[in-house]
Amino acid sequence: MTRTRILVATAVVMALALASVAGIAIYRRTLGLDRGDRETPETIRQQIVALDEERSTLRGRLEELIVRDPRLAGMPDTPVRVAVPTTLARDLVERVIAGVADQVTLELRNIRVRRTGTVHRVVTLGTYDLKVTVDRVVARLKAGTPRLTFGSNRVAVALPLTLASGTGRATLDFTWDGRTIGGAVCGDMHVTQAVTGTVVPRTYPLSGALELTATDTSILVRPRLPRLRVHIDVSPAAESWAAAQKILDDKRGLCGFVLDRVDIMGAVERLIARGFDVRIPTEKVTAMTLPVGVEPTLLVRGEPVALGIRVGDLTITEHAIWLGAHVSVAIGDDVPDAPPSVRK
Amino acid sequence: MVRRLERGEPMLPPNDVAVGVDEALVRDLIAAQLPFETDVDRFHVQLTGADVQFRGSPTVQLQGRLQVRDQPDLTAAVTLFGALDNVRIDHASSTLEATVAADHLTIADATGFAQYLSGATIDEVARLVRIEIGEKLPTIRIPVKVQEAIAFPAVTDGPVRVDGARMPLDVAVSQVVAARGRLWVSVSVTPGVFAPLATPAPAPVTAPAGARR
Repeated sequence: MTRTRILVATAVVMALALASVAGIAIYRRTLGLDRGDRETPETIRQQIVALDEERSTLRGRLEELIVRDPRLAGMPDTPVRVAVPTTLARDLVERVIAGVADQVTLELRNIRVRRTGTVHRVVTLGTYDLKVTVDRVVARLKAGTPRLTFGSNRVAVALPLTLASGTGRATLDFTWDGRTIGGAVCGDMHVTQAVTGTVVPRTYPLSGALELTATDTSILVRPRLPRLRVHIDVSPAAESWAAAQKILDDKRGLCGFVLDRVDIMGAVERLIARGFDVRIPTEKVTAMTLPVGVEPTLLVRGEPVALGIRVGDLTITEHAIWLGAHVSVAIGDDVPDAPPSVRK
Repeated sequence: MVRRLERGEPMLPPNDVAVGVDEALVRDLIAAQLPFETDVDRFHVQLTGADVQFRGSPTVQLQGRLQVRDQPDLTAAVTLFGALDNVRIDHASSTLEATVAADHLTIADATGFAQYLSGATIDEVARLVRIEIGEKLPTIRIPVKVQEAIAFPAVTDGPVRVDGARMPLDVAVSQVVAARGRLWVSVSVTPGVFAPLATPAPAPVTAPAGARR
């Protein structure tokens, strides 16, 4: 080995040694192995024991305190229980009542009134045929703010229901068949004219109850509302009324006597003034299901499996509506009998 | 939670729907998904038993056996320690569901295993099996339905017509508490605006908001 080679080898060995020392120093510094405040394994063990104890204490305290939660009062003793807060139930019911009422449209079509007669003035001047057809009256309902009172398994409900807006359209059809006597009387005449109007707003008080029941899987809110009859009044639109009147006025002259006797606009006015009675089919308002319940089937390993469900009684407290259910999982076996039932 | 209860406040948000499920039922629901079998590296894992405890946290233990695939006589008992995590509403089925988070796995009662693997390697196998199993464990479905809308069918009766309408509900799991052998899931329900059924309102989109306490 030459002297040069010895020097190079020595330098390499020294460089490697220095790099190793530096590496160890960086490693110890990174892990904090030389820190004065470094915790010993014993300290860490003690900390873990202390944390375990604290966790156990907190768990015990939680278990102790949880039973004092007033919201859990009345909770059914079943494996599955669902509590719908009365505040939420109230909010949902109020929104649903208002929402459904706002979707109600009353629509009347083709109501006909006919009057025929003869006009005399010493002699028979002719016969008339007056037909008034209410082509269409449409009115929309609007619900006011409902007042709900929770009690037992019923919720008393009272709300103002308003015939809020609407329009009406009628067609008058007048035919006059005049007898020609010396040409000095009103000849044949046929007038057809539409008149329009708007529905007069009117408010009705509606009061009834919502009955809460439990089915096998959910809480139903079933309306128990009395029959409600509303009266629709239509107020003629001045301009359409005036247009009809003008057409009749234009026919006056020799026919003035006839038109006065028949009183076409009076007949239309009397028909409209009677208004229209409509019964609201409150019994058709469907039950509402509160949005949380028990699911009777589950996917297990990709296959739907029917669960055995036996629903408990519905419990209504100040804070919540409780639904309790016994649920059994019977994979590969017959599902326990769970006859459909409606309970209160 | 303890501080809140000590102040006399309710366990769950007062305007939320509360769902309580007993640990025995959840154990049965998990057991219904068993046996669970999978291969991890050169090992075959079969989980056959479940234990569930709702005391402070929703802990789950799954027991089974680990087998060396090419040496079936080499087996060991495994216990997976985990917890129900990410309790959420599955929007497809409108039911509650949860994931089992695998926190720790032990390998014990080894038959010839100790000779096959050293202690440090057993720990490494346990870590590997835990990680891989954690990604494959089936979702736990809780038989509670949470609807995301209230709908009313149309009614036509003579002169009265009620248009069908639908009120969307924004529903989400807001809190989870495990105590006294029960899992309490708090579900927030926020009603939307009624819309005619002909033009249904878009379903509210909610991010799963499960929590593990």
